[in-house]
Amino acid sequence: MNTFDQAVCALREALDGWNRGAVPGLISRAAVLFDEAARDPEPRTRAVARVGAAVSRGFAGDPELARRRLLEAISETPDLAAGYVALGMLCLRDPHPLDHAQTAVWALLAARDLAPGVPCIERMLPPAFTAAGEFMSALQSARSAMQLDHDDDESRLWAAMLRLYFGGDLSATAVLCNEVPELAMAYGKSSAAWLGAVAGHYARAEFHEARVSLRKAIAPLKIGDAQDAPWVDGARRWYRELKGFGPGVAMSGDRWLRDVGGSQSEYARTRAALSAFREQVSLRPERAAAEGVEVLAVEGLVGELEARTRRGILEWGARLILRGFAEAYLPLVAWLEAPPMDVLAAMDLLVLDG
Amino acid sequence: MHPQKLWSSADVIAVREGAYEALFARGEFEAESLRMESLLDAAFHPDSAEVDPGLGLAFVLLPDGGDAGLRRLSEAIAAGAVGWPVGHALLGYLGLLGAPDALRERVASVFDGVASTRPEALAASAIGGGDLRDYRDHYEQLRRAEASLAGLAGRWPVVVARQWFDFVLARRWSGFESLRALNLGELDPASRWLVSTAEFLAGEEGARLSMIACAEAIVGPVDPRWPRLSRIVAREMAALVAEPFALRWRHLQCAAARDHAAAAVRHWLGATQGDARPEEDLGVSIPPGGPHGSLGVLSPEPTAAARAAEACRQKAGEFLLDWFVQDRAIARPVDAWAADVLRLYHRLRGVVMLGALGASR
Repeated sequence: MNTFDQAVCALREALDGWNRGAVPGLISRAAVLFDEAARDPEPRTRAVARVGAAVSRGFAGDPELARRRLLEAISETPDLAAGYVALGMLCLRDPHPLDHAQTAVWALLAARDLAPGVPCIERMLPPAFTAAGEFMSALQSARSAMQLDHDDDESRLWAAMLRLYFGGDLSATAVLCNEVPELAMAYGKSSAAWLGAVAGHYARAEFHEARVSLRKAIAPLKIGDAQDAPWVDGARRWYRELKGFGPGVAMSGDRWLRDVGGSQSEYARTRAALSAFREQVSLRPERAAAEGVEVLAVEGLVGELEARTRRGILEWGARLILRGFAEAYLPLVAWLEAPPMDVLAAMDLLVLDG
Repeated sequence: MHPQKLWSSADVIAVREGAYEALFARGEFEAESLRMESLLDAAFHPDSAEVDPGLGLAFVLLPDGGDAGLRRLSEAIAAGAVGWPVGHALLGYLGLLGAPDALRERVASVFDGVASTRPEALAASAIGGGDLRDYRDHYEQLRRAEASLAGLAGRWPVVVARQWFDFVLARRWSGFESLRALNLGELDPASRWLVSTAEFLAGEEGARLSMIACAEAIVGPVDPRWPRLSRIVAREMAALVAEPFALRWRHLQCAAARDHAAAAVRHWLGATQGDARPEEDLGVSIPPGGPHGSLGVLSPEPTAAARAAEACRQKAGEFLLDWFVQDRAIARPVDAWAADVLRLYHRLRGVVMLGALGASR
């Protein structure tokens, strides 16, 4: 077994023993072995080993150095998809994924161009696009990923979240509340999938179930433990803002006044001023018409004001909830789950036997 | 050249060719104050209708554009060598003659370092923006001036103007409420007039009459001396109140075009901040004094996504976002009306400030 194969085995072993991170001694050994393999005379092995070394350091707790090394590796071998995949993956596994969302999008799009039809690359694109705030692209990527892999629970989750909050499709709640958690459990994945169920239940105004789902999502984390605190608080913070947005996507009835900030809000006052103006115009229609003002136009403006504000609230709300979900969900997954093996394979970090 | 009563063609040509002596350039401040008044007499002489009264503005700066005379005057005021409010009078002179924002700001910048003229200088500089439509910068100046004059008697013009900007230009109803809550008795007559313009824009009953009454109260006492000023003020007032429906309609259209959704989302984000008890989201109760962090009370800070949404708005500037309306055809008449109001406001304010000079003699 050559040095590169030994390094890959060490990396696999370090990830197999994942417990809120890779096994420390093994991941350090993998990094050292990859460094050694990076001196291999064969250019491709050398390039992939550099990627492996950077990824190992990322898992060892130095994502900044890992990203820098990956960018160097990409600049030297820009035609190799492995570096881009690794960079995209590390950006998405960062504790602050929104800060690196654009880099992740760039890297994963480049990886997809170099290696089209690879399910795991397509699977990582929806969260990257969502974190970057590009929801339509995220939805398209999620659908492409599901076409490539029909059992892809991850893309199913993102597609449903986007359909629910970006598209306003309440039928997506069934996917979030039932299908995705069941699939995730069946595949032995972490409890993070229950975070999507929180959004689904809340949209259906099932508040108790939403709370239960949140507890399930963070169940493996030690309550009160300082090490786990950022992930628990991240999930709770997102849930708090989700609650602020309120149940259901549609805003109707007496909720509307609360949604726009109450009776003293600028919206409510503008609307009241328009109503008062309409009255005055209707009292002196000739004078108003001479100045180019008509009752119909005022009524039209009132309708336009409401429609635009409703649409704006939905768009703003969707933006906050979806990006907030990415902010809470991605670090939780990265904390609880090792990267899937197909992602390592897409980085060429695998041993060919036989 | 010392015009006393009436501008002649020769005077006008001389001024345009730079053959004049700037005010306060010689340092004889009392004599120069009198000359300033005689220039106003010439500008507002009933028979000088064909000459732009703004011609008198040329005398403020040196023919080469310098401000050495003004600096000498400000130093004398700072040293206490001038016993009457000539700095105020000069700023009033500028306003009365309808000085553009840039000239008013330049002169005000000479006097804003002098304690006695600082409030007037800050007001002269900050209340503007109509010429270049840089209302945003002037709003920032107003905010800074309001903060620096807090607690001082001379703060009211700036306070009123800032609230007027809030309502008229940023279409914030809170600004209108604040204006209405002011004690008018504490305000100078020009600021009272400015409040009445906001009421007129809001469609308040009697606001038009109130505007006229305020303006008459200011201009009336100087009408015998400067009859042309009354005519100018009356003409400008007539233009301001000519189309109340159209004006109010444009203003409401601008108000409706604001991003109310962003404000609403900020409201509900703000409302969630206090909601952070673990029993609310996790369904567990914590004994008093129990652990914090992942289990206890959640800190009020929002998610990074929410912070980003806030930061974008703050970076762009709240006032700019509220003032800017994508359909400029709607906003342009309101902006133009605001510019006209501010120009007339400075005229009226100029009368008030020059009146202080006359009273002090």
